Amino acid sequence: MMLCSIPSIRNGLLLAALALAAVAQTADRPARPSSPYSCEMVGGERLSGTQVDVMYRVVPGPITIGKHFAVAMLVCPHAGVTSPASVTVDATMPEHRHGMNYKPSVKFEYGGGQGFRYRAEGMMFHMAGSWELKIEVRAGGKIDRLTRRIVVE
Amino acid sequence: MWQGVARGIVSGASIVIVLAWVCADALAQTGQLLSFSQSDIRRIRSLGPWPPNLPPDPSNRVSGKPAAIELGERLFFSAALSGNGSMHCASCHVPARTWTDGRARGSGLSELDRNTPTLENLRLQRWYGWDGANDTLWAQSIRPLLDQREMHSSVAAVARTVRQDAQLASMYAKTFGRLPGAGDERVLVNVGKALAAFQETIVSARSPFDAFRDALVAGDLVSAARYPEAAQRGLTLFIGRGNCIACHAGPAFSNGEFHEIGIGYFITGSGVDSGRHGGIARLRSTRLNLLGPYNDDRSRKAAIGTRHLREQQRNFGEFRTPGLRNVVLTAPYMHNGSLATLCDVVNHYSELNEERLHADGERILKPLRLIADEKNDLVAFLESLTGVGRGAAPAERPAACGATVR
Repeated sequence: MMLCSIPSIRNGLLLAALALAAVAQTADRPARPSSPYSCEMVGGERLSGTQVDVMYRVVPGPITIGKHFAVAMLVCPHAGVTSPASVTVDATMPEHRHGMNYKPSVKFEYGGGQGFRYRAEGMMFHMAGSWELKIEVRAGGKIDRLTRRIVVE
Repeated sequence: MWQGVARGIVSGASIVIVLAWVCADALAQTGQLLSFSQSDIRRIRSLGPWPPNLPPDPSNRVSGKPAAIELGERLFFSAALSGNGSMHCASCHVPARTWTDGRARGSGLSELDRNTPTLENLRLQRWYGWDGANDTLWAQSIRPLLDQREMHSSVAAVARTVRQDAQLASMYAKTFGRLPGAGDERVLVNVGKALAAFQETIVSARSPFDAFRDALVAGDLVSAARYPEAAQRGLTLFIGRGNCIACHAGPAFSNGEFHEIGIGYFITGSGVDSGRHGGIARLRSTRLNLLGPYNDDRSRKAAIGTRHLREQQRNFGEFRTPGLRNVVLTAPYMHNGSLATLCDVVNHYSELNEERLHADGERILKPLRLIADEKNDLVAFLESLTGVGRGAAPAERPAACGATVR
């Protein structure tokens, strides 16, 4: 009597191969340096770059079509990366081939053990659909371009 | 005990059956309710409630004040504000014509380039005029007073009229706490603020769509089924394949922003109408904007849009998305009144000429290629946005866009 059928052996081999591939990928990827900042923001979402992590939150949320909102951000440079030189925020609708009708202004608020707090004012999504929020941070002589897809109805 | 439980179950089941029977009977009496997904219902919900509860305009300290509304109404119908005493605001914004004039292009002391928009639901707007050249209703109210093609008055003449008319001066004092002073511009701005206070009270009545929307959101399917089927099908197109809701969003059916939709912007004999491009330039050049000295909101919160405006090449030929409430009563359509009927408007989007669109314009604008039945459904939906008591019910109107040949 066969304990394992041929399909189940095949499945087992496939799983093993996938596991090995995953281990190999992890080995290839450089480990992210730990950040000296706690980088915590209540209700925030994390975007990770090569130089910084950014926690952000829409204020007031959720986004309403045709209403202005702000983006509160906590920028957390990775270990060994200097503090942010600049932060810019924008958004586009890739499917519509246009962006916002407003140019947000970004202000630095303060820095501390959690990270560096910024706030973008003047944002507005004026149409329903798929938007791409873009946060660009210049730090450590490099630029992190972080994006997040946001669908508003 | 089990007998009691069984009796309870039988009794409960009977109630369900009776309710289902009553429901089905009621639906049969009222009409058919189409199937709307949860996503559809979310979109439909976003088109209300109506009327909205709006706070006074913070940039206008007399917004919502009865004395200001009274003064504004008096000024609105006063020909003394025009340069030659022959026109008042209601000459073009005719109350009996849903505050429009029924003409393709407005006509003041001479012919104008744009269609006269309705004055309904202005408090919901962010930008005023087809090009958004003003960021407040009070500043927009001043513009036609001074435009030489419209009422052709002047800052000094308007101030003088208010000072010299004893009744106006008295109403002005009651509204603003003092008689009109020596500063002409201040008096003019206050005239604009009183006119705005009056116009803010002009709000569309609830429509059959509102009753449907509220019933659907509340789960009252019997009441929702009373909404005409053609309007339901049109609504399905509006929020679905047609994606009209992308711009005609929210309770006023407008996102308040600017779009280029392939309508010509050449002006007979005088070049082109630059639309939003020129509107932004005019907005920035006036001290009567929200960044100027006459904004009564010291926090300047309402000025956030003006402060963050982004001027772009694509603004050329863009015009503000109009609201759609009572739209059947505000023909003709588009910024230049070039489309006579709602059917013409639907045909425009159905057969959209993509070559007329900006190269850097809306990529989602594609011809909808609607069949005649779909066009009629869309028109039926638009007609259902008419305030109750304002015109024929959609079901009583003949098919506007012909019949589909099968």
